Amino acid sequence: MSRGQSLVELAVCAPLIVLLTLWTAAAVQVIDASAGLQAATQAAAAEASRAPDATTADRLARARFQAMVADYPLRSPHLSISSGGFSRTDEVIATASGAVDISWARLFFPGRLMLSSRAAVPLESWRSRGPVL
Amino acid sequence: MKSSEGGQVLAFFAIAMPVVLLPVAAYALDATMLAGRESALQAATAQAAETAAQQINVRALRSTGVLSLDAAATRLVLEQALAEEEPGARIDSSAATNAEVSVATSEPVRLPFSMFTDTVVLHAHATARLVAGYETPA
Repeated sequence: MSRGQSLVELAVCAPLIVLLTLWTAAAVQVIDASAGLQAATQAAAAEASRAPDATTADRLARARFQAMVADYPLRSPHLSISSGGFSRTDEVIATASGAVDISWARLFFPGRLMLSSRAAVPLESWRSRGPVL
Repeated sequence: MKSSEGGQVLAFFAIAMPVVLLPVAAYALDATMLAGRESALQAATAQAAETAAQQINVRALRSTGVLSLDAAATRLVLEQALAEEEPGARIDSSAATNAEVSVATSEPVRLPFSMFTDTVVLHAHATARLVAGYETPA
């Protein structure tokens, strides 16, 4: 009467376990990528705020951003930097976006999630700087 | 298998799911989220300290030529910078000596999945120094 019952029960339960495992792994990957993108954006804005001029600020911020996002599971990371006229009262606004690829679990989830982050850091007011004062 | 042993696998999963598997999954999510929040708090604290360390006491600089910090402005900037970056964080202590700002912050973080505790309090500490000159920034 109960021949094969264990197999049926396992067949019922196993997909739940697999789904739970996949969901957990995908969620951890998304949370990790989101934290990484936020940290990289913040670091890029902080780096730009210490630069002597707008061009250097943009270059340093991008280099810092790329170095940081490389450690996180992010695809096509993009950073835009706005520093106004780079005067002493301005602030650097960094806006970043990137995608997290969870296509390995696309049977249950969307294959790609877009993330975005923003950070604002005031320019260092006493620092020596370029032509704009 | 005897008929009296039927349903053992279901019974095992019925016990293992809430006791082992769900808490492990909850822990993985909470730990990842907590690590991200802790690094964000540390970054916000460091940024607030750096911004505060730029609050030069202009009056003292003009009268004595010595670089020092304006303690009142330092505290105000610390609060503003931290509120902007991490609205849930608060300043536990801060100290501004002549040219150095130290700040300790904390932030209660709610764990959405934990079955054992609702909230964890994160702590961060940062120090920034006011140093003259561009080539060797603090």
